Amino acid sequence: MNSLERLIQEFSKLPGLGKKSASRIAYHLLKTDEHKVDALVNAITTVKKTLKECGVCGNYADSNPCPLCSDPHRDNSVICIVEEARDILTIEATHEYKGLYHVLGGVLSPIQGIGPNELRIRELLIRIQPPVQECIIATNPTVEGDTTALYLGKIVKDTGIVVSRIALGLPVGGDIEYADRLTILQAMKARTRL
Amino acid sequence: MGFASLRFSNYRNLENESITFSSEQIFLIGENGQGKTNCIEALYSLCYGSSFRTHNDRDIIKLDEDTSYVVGTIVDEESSEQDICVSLFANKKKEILVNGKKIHDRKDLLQIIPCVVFSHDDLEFIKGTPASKRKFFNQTLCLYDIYYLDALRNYSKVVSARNLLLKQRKNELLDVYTHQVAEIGFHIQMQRREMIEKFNIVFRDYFKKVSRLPGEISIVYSPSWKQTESYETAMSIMNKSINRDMQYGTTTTGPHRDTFLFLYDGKDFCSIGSTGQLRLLSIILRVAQAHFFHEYTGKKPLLLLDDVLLELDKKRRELFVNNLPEYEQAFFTFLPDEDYNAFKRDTTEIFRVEKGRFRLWTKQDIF
Ligand SMILES: [Zn+2]
Repeated sequence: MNSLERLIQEFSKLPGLGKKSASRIAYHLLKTDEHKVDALVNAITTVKKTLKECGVCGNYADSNPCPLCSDPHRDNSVICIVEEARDILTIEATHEYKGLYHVLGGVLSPIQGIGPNELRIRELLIRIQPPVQECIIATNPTVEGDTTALYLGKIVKDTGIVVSRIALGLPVGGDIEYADRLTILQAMKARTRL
Repeated sequence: MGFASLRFSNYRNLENESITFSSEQIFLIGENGQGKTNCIEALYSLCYGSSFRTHNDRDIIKLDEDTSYVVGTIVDEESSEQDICVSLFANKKKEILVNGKKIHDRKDLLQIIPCVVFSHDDLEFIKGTPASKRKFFNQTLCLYDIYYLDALRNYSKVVSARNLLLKQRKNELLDVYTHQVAEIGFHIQMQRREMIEKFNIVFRDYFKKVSRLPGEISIVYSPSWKQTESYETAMSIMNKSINRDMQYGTTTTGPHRDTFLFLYDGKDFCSIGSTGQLRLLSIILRVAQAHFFHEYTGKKPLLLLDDVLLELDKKRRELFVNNLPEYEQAFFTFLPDEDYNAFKRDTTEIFRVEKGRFRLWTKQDIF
């Protein structure tokens, strides 16, 4: 295997990249200026060296605890539970939520050998004590996400803390006419009283 | 209109052949083993992404070859074209492409061209295991409500997970999965109950019209969970059998154990009907499926009829053909000595199938 083939093989191991896109990127890099390639390589090694998992919430950051956990302006009475660290980025981009986060690192899936011990659930239970008063579960609307939410709801409720799940349903600005049936069903289920 | 063309490569005995169609009714005439059913199978796989004859792609790929494909071009009323390609490989998973783009969920394919196939194996829906009966009614439901497929997939996921927990005796998560099986299972049960009610109306009607039997037929849905009003009742039924579930290491109740009965004047049709009558019932079941789909979606199905008329006597053949629903396009197969001219329309295209080759019959050939 020559060095180009090796690079293509490494790229195609990445999520979302097939053999075709892997070789497209490899050939693109061959044509790219050397200093630009260096910058890319540098960014990859730096992220791997400096980013640490936050011991509190499980987010990736340059410091431990992460800036979110150590920010005194954030509301420390509420924790939003997400599947993956990248979900934090999505929610933060809205600038609406001011509470803390907790990353599970996946969802329950007994078939794949993922039970409560494989997720950051023990770490969550340690955090659930005053000043925390509320947990918002923001797992994905998949069957695995639902099951995980159900399980979390059960164990968190036992501690006497308020638990809720983010509402799933119609996108804002969307037209009911164009929504699929499943979305409407979910939106109906998660309806709010006026 | 439906399929405007088909192109095969190493698809069973269809080595390298292409056909074009310009009619909504196509007859394929040939002796057995010439390629008629292979063509029907290929059409089915373009609609469903799988075969109705085998689960093993290798069976379809011509011997000593590594790949096989069929490409179909579909033309709709506005004469816009769509290409569907199903490629099979000896050593990797099959690929389905729609307009050159790989699709990852079979759901996207099912919505393009809904299809009802009449085949010899349909008898299993009548006298086979509860699993084959569920297969028929699952298909009927998926045809008119594609999201039912999601419910089935999710259900099978949570049942397998629960079974594993039962086997591993991991009781911590059992409650949660019992809840999920009950909730998704209850939804499936409701869907089946509602569908059977509507389906019975259509089915009884066509049974009367085609079978010429004097009695009343009806399909009875016999769910594993009796008397469930909500998922909570389903959950309490499951919790009652928890000891048995643990003993066997499997979920012993739920929609995956449902069955359906065919009652003729209140008696089980399977034990009183002759083989011919059971066969007839299986054909009427498909007629009803096609009508049901048309009635509740307003769309016209593609019909694939593989040697069906052969099974019926002359009078019933006529009744059968006259009671088919409106269709987008229909493919019939016949043996050369069958009286197919009796069912042909002015626009019917007739193909002679011989050794994997298709030849369009012109007027001169017929007269
Ligand atoms: Zn943190």
